[in-house]
Amino acid sequence: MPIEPMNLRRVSVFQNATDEDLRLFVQNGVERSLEEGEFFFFQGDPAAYAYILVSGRAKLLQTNPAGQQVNLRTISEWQVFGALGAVRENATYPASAQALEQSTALAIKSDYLHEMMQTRPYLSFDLMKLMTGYIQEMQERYRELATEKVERRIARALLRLTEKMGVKTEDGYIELSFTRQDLAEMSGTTLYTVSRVLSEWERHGLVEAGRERVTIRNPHGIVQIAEELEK
Amino acid sequence: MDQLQPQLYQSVQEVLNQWPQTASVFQAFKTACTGCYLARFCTLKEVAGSYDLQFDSFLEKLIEATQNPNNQRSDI
Repeated sequence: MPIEPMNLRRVSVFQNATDEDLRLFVQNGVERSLEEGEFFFFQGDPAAYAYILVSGRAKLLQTNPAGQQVNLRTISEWQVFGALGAVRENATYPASAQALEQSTALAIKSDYLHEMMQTRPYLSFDLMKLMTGYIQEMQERYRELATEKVERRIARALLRLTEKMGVKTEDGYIELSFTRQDLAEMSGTTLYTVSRVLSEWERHGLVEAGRERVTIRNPHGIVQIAEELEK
Repeated sequence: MDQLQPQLYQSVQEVLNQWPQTASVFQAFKTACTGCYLARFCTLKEVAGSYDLQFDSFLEKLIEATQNPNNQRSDI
């Protein structure tokens, strides 16, 4: 289904774009549709395209030489990913992007975006805001890994996922879908530890943990753990 | 849709988006709401419940803050 240009205004870096610019981005982009598990790009590939997820969900993951994976971020609809090539010449993707479900993205050539940035200051500012947001998040996560208990790291990773993907139910609970492996990779720990912590939280009524779904029954309880608030 | 004043069913995110100056009230009541990942989910009523706040007094201070757009400090 063709992408409606005006929908691109839902993308943070295009919120100040003119209608004409939005049409140009769609005209000069290519739609890519993937099934669950397929990759938009691989870590180390030339960063030839910047992507906007139009439907579905994806994740950015990095692999070390030993084959260990770390989940960097989950991508939701109308989020930009893989935009490094628009800002830096000869950049390579620092991570792979994998579809978590059937997904479609608009791929815009990095060279084209780079050219547009020369005459559209809003694009430069908004890309800069996006990237400094990533830097801030990575700094926080680095600090957590270096100094904080694993339960707290898992709570914070769960909250990050919830912010992006959570859906509130009529009961006041929050539901979200992800695997325990995803949570382990995002919080720098093992599947075993995540399972142990989730079971503990389930015993205390904080969550209901299924195989690929978590229901947060006591959101404030998770915040208390994540922020070490007084109970 | 913008409200005339904060409502108990509104989320923290909605209230902070419409009246950024209310951030000082959330902080003065010692909540962790400003910058919280769950701001779009928690209603004012739920915040009062979670932090054991006197809801009427909390709402009153929020409304007071909305009437003073330049207010940076909340006297609680």
